[in-house]
This record gives sequence, structure tokens and C-alpha cells, in this order.
Amino acid sequence: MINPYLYLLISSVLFGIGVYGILSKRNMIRMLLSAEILFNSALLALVSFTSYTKNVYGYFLVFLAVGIAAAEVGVLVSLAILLYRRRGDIDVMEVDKLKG
Amino acid sequence: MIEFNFLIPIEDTIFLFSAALLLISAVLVIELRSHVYAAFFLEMVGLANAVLFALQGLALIAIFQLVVYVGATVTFILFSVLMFKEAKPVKPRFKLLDLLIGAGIAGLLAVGAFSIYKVSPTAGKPSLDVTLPEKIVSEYGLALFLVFFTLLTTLIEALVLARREVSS
Repeated sequence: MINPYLYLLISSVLFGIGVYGILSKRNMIRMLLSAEILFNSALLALVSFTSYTKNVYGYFLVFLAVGIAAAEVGVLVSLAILLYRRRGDIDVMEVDKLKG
Repeated sequence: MIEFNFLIPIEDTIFLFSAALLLISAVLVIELRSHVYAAFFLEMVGLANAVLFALQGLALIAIFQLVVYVGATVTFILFSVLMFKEAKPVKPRFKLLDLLIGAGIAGLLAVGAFSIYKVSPTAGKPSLDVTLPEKIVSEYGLALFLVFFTLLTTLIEALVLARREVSS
């Protein structure tokens, strides 16, 4: 039996990697991938707590979270593609120039 | 019948391998220059996460993660990034500061998780050996419908993206 704290420790390290990715990258796709790492980290923590406390509601939360993350990825990729078609690059520092 | 005696329990070996794959793949997602390889390693992150779910006894959630997240969502990202040119390398302004913030947040979370882990009650909870799919369909029909509906929206978005643009 593996100590549940180890899962939470891995989740924390993964979250730190995701935060570093979001802060250090300017490319929209790379920021999306970093946000997905954050999502995976949060999911691992949720699953660890669910498994640890044997709470049935956690299972449904995980199902909902994965389903909604799939939709969120679709929206973000659509935005990135639209931005790329309009501007030719997806540097987020340039996005504010789209303001009226 | 042949019995295998492992020096290290097989569960621990799988855990160590999955954890290493998870963390190394996450670093590669951030640091690799190619978007395509970065998306591929994001799939590895999802795969290793699913193995960790299965190790905690949540096989159904591990399968859902594999089918919906790795199989559909990240593959959608992988094929979408093929449409972009490779990014021009941009030198980050405060790389060390970003690294310190990331490490600090990870440390805070680890300490917080440890304190929660120490105080949370676990004894006396019954094991969840109910048939989960039956429970989902009977008691959580609306939540299941919402999940299907959000997945359907992703399909519609993919169709809209794939549609050919007509210039006016």
C-alpha cells in the first residue's frame, strides 16, 4: 500500500511545474499545455483525497472535471486558431493590440 | 503454479515508474521547443496519471481518463498544433523568478497537503465497493447528461474548426 501523501506530493510538484510553465511562456499553445498540467495535478489531488476518504461524491466530481476540461480545451484551441488566422502568431503579449 | 518473488513489491515499482514518467514528461512539455512533441508528452502525463488513479483502486476513473482525456482531448490538441508554425524562441524575462515562484507554490502545497493528510479522518469509512456505473446512472443522471453534453460541444467545436473558410 503506497502512502497517500506521496500522491499529494507528486501533485504539488506537478502544480509547481505547471505554474512555472504558465509564468515563463508567452506562446498561447504552450500556456494551454501548461494549464493542462495544472489540471492534471488538481485531478490527481482530487482522486487521492477521494480514494483516501472513500467519498462517493469525489468520483462524480472527477467525471465532471474530465468532461468539462475536454470542452475547455476545445474552446481554447479554437481561440488560438482564430488568433493565428488573424495575426499570424499566437504571442499572448501581442493580443492586447486587438483592443478596439 | 509458478510464484514470482520480487525484491521490491510490484505496486511500488509501478508507482515509481509512473511518478517519474509523470514529472519528466511535465518538464518536457514545458521545455521542448516543438509543439508536437510537447503535446505528445502531455499525452504521457495523462497516461501516467491514469496509472496512478488505477493504483489507488479507481480503475473506472483511470479508464475514463484514458478514453476521454488521453484518447480524445489531448489527441485533439496534438492534431490542432499541427496547424501552427513552430514558435519563435522568446527569451523569458524573469526565468529564475518564475522558477522560484513555481517551486514556492509547490512547497506550500506539499506542506498544506501534509497537514490536511495528518488531520483528515479516515477510520470507519466503508469501502466503496458498490457498482459505480449503476449508481451513476440511477442517482446522477443529470451529471452524466452534463458530461455528455460538454463532450458534444467539443465535437461541434472540432467540426467548426475543420470547416473550410469561405472568403466573402
